[in-house]
Amino acid sequence: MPTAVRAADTLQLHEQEIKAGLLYNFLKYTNWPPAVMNDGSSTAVCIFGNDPFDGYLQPMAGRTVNQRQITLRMIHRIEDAGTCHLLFINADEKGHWLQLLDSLKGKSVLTVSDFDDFADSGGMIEFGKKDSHINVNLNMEAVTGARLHVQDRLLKLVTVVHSTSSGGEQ
Amino acid sequence: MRMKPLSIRNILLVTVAALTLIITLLAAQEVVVNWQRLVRIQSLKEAVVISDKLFDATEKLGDERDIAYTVLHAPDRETADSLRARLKESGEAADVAFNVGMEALKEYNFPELQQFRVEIETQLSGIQALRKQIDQAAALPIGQRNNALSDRWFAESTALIMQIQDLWVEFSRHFVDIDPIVTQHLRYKHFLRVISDYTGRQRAIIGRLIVENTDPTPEEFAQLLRGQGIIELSWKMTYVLASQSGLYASVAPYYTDAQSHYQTLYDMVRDIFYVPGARHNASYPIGVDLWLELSSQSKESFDAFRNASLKEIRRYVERLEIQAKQTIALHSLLLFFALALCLYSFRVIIYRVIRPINGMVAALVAATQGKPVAVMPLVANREDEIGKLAKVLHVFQETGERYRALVEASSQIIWTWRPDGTGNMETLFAWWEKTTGLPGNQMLPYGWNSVVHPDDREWTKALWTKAMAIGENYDMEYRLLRHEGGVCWVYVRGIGLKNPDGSVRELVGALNDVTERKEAEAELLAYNRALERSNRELDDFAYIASHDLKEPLRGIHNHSCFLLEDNEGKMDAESVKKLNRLVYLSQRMEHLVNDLLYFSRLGRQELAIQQTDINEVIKDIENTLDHFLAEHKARLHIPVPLPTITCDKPRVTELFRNLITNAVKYNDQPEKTVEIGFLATHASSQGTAYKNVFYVKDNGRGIAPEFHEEIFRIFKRLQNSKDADDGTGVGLTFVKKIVERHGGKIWLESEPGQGTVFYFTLEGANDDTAKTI
Repeated sequence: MPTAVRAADTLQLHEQEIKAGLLYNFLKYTNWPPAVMNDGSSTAVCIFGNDPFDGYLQPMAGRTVNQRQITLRMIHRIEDAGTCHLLFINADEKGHWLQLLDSLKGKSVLTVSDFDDFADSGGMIEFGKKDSHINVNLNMEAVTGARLHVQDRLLKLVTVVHSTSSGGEQ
Repeated sequence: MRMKPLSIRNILLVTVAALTLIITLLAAQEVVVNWQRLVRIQSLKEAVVISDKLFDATEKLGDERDIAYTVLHAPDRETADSLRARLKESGEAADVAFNVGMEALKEYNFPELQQFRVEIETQLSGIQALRKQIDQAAALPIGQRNNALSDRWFAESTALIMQIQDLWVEFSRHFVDIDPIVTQHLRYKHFLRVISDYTGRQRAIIGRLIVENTDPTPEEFAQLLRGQGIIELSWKMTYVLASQSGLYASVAPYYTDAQSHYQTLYDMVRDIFYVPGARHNASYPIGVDLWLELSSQSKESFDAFRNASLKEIRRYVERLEIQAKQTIALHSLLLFFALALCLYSFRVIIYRVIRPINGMVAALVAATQGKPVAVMPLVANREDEIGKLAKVLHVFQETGERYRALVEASSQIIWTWRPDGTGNMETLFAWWEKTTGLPGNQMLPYGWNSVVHPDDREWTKALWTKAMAIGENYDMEYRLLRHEGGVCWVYVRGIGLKNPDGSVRELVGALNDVTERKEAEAELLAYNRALERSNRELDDFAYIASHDLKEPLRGIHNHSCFLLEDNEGKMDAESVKKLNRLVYLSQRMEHLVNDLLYFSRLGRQELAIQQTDINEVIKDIENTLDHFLAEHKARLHIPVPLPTITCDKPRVTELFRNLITNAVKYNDQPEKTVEIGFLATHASSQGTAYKNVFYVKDNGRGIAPEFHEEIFRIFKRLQNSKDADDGTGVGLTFVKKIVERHGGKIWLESEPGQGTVFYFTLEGANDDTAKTI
């Protein structure tokens, strides 16, 4: 049914818009260690792999959060990930995740993705769905392990889950 | 009636007092105006706090409105319950904020506020009632709820919010005239409020759509679009107003954060709710909890921005207050200094200017009345203008005193007379009355002339008329008729003093009774005439005598010669000797008579005055005496060229020849020198200095001082000589006569054995070139 397909696509698209917007709130209510924030006056948002937001994230570039400018970077190499504050991993890149996770060890990078089991496998924030609404899971161990601190306001947006995989950061 | 003119002192004092008053009033006015401004700023400060509270109340009410609206449209019990706590919380916060604001407002009794209060109370009680209904409705199952309630709630709560907003705008209006920036701030706050309100409305509408899982109605859609337009415009306006009022620099980080956050939220839902025709079959990818939380978080960013703005505005008002206080302090200080300066000026003017000037004026007035007064002690040792003025006046005063003293000390009668009839004439009048019997008050201008000797009347009157008319100086000696008979000679000199325009200001004169002098002069003249007559008679007598004596002498001489020739060999030796002696004596007698004749001619004949080069004169003499000089081994020496003068050349030639001949003759040196020279000035041994002095100097035997006068006497020789050529002893007498005929003087300096110098002048002792040292 063309109409139904179109409606589903549109819905999918709107989900991506909401996810893109949520990233702003993640940035706003996450505290990075001072050393990480001192390296420049901008906050770097990176997308690993192709842009899953279909350009919806683009307007974010140049806006400010906590009085720091947001910059957007598309990265394709694992070794580039360490310089980001927030790293969104395209679900298509799921295959590189563990490798990526390994490379981010000891780095304070807030990782976000929307593939299944992301939070379970050591990711920090995972977009999911519940009753056709967007649902956000947060792996607290992973967050604290990266020396990040999330504020209460952020917790109001998410469901806190605990990682079951051995990939969880400690 | 003419008012007495103000003295300079009074004018100065009044001026300074007026200036003091003006400066004081101006400064005081500044202080008062700034004080009033300060009071207004302080009230503004309080008003800003109150308006912020009211602002806060509208915010809280907006929150409550939006949440309640969402609750009323909750799809299920679970959703409604999850929001009820939040609703209760926001309702309480709204009440607190509202009460605080209204309480603070009670202190102000602007008339229009009263109306607002009444209306707000009514509206508030309506809201209270609705709250209860909402609470009850929230507990009901979804289908049993009344949609009209939610609409009513939304409308009434919005109306209350608008009312409160109008209230604080109205309230703030009383304070905006204090400062233009405050007006900008008010507008700025207004746009903040608009952003907040419309963001809240959108949140509520979107919340309801999500909750009810429906598509927006056309009205809702229109409301959303319109609200979005207003919000975007308001963001721009806040930016413009913040920039214009100088706020932006302080709030920029909050502004960009809040706007970024708002924009991000809008981006999230734009395609879902704001695009016409894009419908999702009421299937939204976002739950109401997440939506409300996200919009609440966005609101948090906005609140941070709002709070920073309000804080900055309050700080601005505080700065205004500080500035006003500083201005008051500065103006008070200025006022103080202005007063101090004025008082100081007062003091200076009185003590340093007015008093010394008063003193000087009094002193000078006293001085004109002849009282001795001191100007200087008033301004002792002052170097400023007053001091200098006092010194000058002091000099004038002394001059005046000296003038009076001079007048008193003078034997002359000194008077002054001005064309207006005033002047200093008492002494003159007194003398005049005593001498001529003419009363002093009848003297001027022409009365005096009636007692002048008839012969002197006209010319003296003419001189006086001229003096009065053009101030010409005059100088007259005339006779006055004494009232007891006889005449009195007076000598009067008058000096005319003129005004700058040339008119006569004053005549100053001195009168001297010269009767005695005139009588003495007349006597002297008589003596002189007698003497002249006697001299002339004497010269005439000498001339006649010598002329007449020559004839018998010639007879004696001739007859003696005849006797010798006729009786040669007949007379004895003794007789011949006696006859020869007779011939010799008669010859000598003839020389004497000739000399006497010549001498008398010298006195009688006029001088033949001409330009004469004395060098030529000497050269001529040298030629003539060629043999004489050679015979005596004498030499003339002229150290400097001699001048050309006006004189009788033959006489002066004779004068030099006599002196040169004498110098050679009475000289026993083997080498005789005669120096002839000319001195521009020379002092005689008596100490009198003469100009243009000739001298003839020899190295002869010299003359003892006791003979220095003697030698000029006629027929006086210091040595007897048997030689007739040796002269009769008249040479120096001629010399002296020639010098005197030229108005000159002759004297000599000599000692025996030291040589002799004859000095003489030819220009006359009456010439002013000669003077006494």
